[in-house]
Amino acid sequence: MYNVGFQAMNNLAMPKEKQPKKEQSTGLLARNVNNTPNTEEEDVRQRVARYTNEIRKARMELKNG
Amino acid sequence: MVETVGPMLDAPIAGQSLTAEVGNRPWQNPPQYSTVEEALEYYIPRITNPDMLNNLFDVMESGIPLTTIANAMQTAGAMEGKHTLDVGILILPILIETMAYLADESDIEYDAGSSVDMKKDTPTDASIARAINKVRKRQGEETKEEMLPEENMVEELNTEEELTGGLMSRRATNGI
Repeated sequence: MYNVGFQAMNNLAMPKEKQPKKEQSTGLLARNVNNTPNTEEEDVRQRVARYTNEIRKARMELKNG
Repeated sequence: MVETVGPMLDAPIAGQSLTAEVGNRPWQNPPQYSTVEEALEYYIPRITNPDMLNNLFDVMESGIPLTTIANAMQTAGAMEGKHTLDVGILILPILIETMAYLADESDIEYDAGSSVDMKKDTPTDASIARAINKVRKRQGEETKEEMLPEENMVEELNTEEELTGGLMSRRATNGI
């Protein structure tokens, strides 16, 4: 039988870990002041991937002690 | 892609969906939970419920993959009109991961069902037996073919002996 769970699990694009951004000085005279706020809305699939990733991380921590 | 091994004999009959009034079935009405989060709020307390959890662990220990269990759960939810099939498929990874977490927490052995079976290419016992039978048959035919000329030779020798073996039979001309 066609296993939907298998497909859903294997086709899940896990979120890549974002590297911490270097803190830039926010002074008025500082270079490259980024005023645009981060308005990226998460897609449903991204949200699901994030939830799954969080639970997986907790499971791995449980396994590794 | 996972290929179906055998014929799908449990597929619905053509026109089966038209045997009831439209809207009479729960899945033909608006779902109770329309988002992933709402559907999870319905499922997670049920999975973590101690009574349900014991049954779930029994099923896991019997070797049924988590993907199959989660799929059965979400299909049942869609049939009851709790959520749409789309939402059901979307929450599948979370359900599987949650069940894996709970099983790991309680040291229960389980089959995740999400890894590719590497033994898929190995032949089955039945196919091995068939191949062996074929080889044996072929070998048997070959030995018969090889045996046939020898048998003819033996028969020829026997006939010669019969001709010359009698007391009153003629003596060989080249003998004296």
